[in-house]
Amino acid sequence: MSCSPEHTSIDLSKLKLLNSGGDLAEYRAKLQGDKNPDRKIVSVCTGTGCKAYKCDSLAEALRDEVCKAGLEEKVEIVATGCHGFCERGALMVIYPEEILYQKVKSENAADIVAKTLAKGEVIEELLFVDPVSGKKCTKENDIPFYKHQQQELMHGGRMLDPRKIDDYIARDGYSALVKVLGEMKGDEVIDQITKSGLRGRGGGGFPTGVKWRTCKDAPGEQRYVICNADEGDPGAYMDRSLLEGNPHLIIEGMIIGAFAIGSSQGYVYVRNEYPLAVSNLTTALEQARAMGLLGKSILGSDFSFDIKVVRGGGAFVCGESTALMASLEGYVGEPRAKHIHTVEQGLYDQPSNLNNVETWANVPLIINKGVDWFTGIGTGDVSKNPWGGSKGTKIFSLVGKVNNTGLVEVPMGATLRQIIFDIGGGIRDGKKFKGVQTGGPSGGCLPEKFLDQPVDFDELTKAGSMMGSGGMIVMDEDTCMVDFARYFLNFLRDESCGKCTTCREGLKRMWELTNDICEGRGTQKHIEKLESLAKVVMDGSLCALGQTAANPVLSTLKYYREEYEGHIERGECIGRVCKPLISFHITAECNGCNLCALNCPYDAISGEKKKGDTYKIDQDKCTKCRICYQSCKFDAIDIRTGTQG
Amino acid sequence: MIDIVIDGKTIQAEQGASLLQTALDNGIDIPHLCYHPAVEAYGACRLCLVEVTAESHGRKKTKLTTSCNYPVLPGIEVVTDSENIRENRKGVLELLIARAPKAKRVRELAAEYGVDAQAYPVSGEECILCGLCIQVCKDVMGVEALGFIGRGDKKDVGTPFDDLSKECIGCASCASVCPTQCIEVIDTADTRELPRWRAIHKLVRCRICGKAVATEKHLAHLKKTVNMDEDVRSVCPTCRREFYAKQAMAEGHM
Repeated sequence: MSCSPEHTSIDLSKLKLLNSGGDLAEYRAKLQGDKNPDRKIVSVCTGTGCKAYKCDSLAEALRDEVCKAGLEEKVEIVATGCHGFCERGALMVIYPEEILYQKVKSENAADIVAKTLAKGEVIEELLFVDPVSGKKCTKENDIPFYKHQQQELMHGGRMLDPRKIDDYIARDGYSALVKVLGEMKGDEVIDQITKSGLRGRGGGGFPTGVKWRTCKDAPGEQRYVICNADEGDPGAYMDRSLLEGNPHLIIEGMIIGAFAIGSSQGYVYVRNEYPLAVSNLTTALEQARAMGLLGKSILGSDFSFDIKVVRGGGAFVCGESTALMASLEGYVGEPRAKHIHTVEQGLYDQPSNLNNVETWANVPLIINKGVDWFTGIGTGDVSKNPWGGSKGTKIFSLVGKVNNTGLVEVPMGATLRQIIFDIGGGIRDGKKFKGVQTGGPSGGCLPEKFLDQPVDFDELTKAGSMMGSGGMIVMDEDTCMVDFARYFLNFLRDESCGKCTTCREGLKRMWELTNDICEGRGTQKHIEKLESLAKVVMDGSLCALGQTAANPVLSTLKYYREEYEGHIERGECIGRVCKPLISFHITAECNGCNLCALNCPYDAISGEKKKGDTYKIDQDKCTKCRICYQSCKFDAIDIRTGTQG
Repeated sequence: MIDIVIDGKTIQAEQGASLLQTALDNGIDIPHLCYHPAVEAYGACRLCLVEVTAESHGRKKTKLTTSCNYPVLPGIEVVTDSENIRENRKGVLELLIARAPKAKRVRELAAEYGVDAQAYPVSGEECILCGLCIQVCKDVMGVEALGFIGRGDKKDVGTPFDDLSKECIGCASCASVCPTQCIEVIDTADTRELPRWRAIHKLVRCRICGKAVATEKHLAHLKKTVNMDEDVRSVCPTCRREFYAKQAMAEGHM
């Protein structure tokens, strides 16, 4: 037989219309029975990160080789969602052996099929080498990055093709929906979600069940359920990966929520910059609709509900609930006053229940696995008070100066140290940890003394930061905390909608003040002004963007005040970042290789080609571009600051 | 009508009404720039901050909020002047005077609150982006010639593509509500210019006394929206009164 590329688009008219839960169970049994139970499954990550490493051609090459080798009955290639370890893409895992290959290229496909899939031989070159221990890891669970995680939400997406509803159904997909439609009343669903202690994953941490209850009880002709997929924190992509990798999980969560609340219309508000998420979600919705899992009379019941995808134009502020609803209505994404909550009067002035992608993704799991399973994970006690703890797992986007970057899912209450050092493998290049930014632009920055702080909704807030939606940026000793605060102010002054004087003008002025400090013009008055202005911005602004915008400044002023003072009093930037406060010098370590002089774009370096300190940098010509520093093989470039300079 | 407490005094107010308007109606002054009773409160300038204590989930909570868009609700207690409120208003005024140092109303308020006019480098704008011009154009005149452009600290007000708007009728309502008087209106013998919107309109003169009545487009707009005789429309308000008075006398009503 000939080996032709797989058809990725599924003919909707050939999908079976399911009229009951029994139909679905029968269909699932058939799907499971059709496949060889002893087959090997090759899960090839086709998330956005791995796409940059050409994972699509890798998956195609693997299919081709499997076909050529006649292994089609024994091996299934699955193009899945994000595996999380994005910096090591393209990633693939062979089950049941759990052999993980990283940095795989399509040229490796023939070898992988001939050696590993046909003969069980492991290809050493494709294994992950732990940068901390230097050990080669064969199985994914040998890798510290995976070993210390608890993937509940992400695991499903790593085993199925998000473009095929059959894959989701075969793995018990939509069974929570069947349970809800067949056995439960709306109020029971709300009770279960409330008892589970599930709290809003977008960062607010409001108990989901309480929100659903308020929405259900609010008077209105039409109730809406909305999925907030307008993720915009710098460096964060948890929701993106979930939507791309397992869209049916979110859809199932929304249908259950709509059933509980009594809604017939849902919306997913997703950023247009997430093309793969938009595409996979749209495909998933079409397939679900064609099978009677969405639309009129879902699974033959008298419950009808449909979902529309609305693409956002990329304004950060549209992640704020009222701005999002304004944008959904076709207006400019500006927040509105929330004296009456959106669950009572939101979209088109109707009761509207908005939850984040990750919150929705938790719903089918709670229904299927039960309240006790969920409350068994996490911190605190939610049996009497839904605010009493943080339950379940949380996905974090671990980025910055750690050895292993990517998406990590851990139980609530895992400490910063576990995430950054056990999973993240600590700081790169043997540098020292300086701080971790959690909660995106609304969060704060925490120093080393908080490393053993459990990460959940309440603990990080006590320390002056917040868990937020799950962004986690790790910084090493080469980071300047004033520059860091300036970065977030710059982000926010641009992303503010500009309505409130306090946010629009205040953030601009706060940016100017930090910029003055970074450029060596700061005085003690600058710090005082930053502190007093921060209060005006936080107290005087309408929405959460402005109300939390000063957090990066306030937390760095609290924990790294000596850096601000160093800039002001001694012209010293200890992170060696702020250009006006640093200078570059060549030390006696110089080997005379001339590489720095060759690379210098401004001809600022000259000297005699011999060992010793003959090379000099002309400070008038130097633009502090760092190229010499980065290209020197002998660590002979010294960056001086403050009194050293 | 319900009872609410403002600065310790019990006041009768209409539920849902603007808290700021209610205070003003009762002789309690709260500084404001972007509020105008003719349009829905937008809450941009942040000067009308007050402290509202309300019950939520069985607990009393006090928060700082703008009073213009806060509705009168049963049981609320309002404080319109406190150390905290003054500090915040002062902070807002520092920001506003740095943005619009020439604006008379901003300067008056800044002086009243003892604000340091040199707290920040002056940016020399005159507009404070309160949005009243946009709202009055859209919601009162029904025209929509103006809108906000951009966001964040690059936000601005203008016409589409900063060009002469086809929609603008030259009524100058925008100028009349502007709290910083930064929309200039230049009337010459037969034109009206609004340089901020790059608009030049033909003025129609009163056929009786020769004074400017309105722009041609404004009169055309009135023809569509107001039931008024053609004869009357092209006559200035003074002559119009005279016209109606004479008509009434001739018909023997007076």
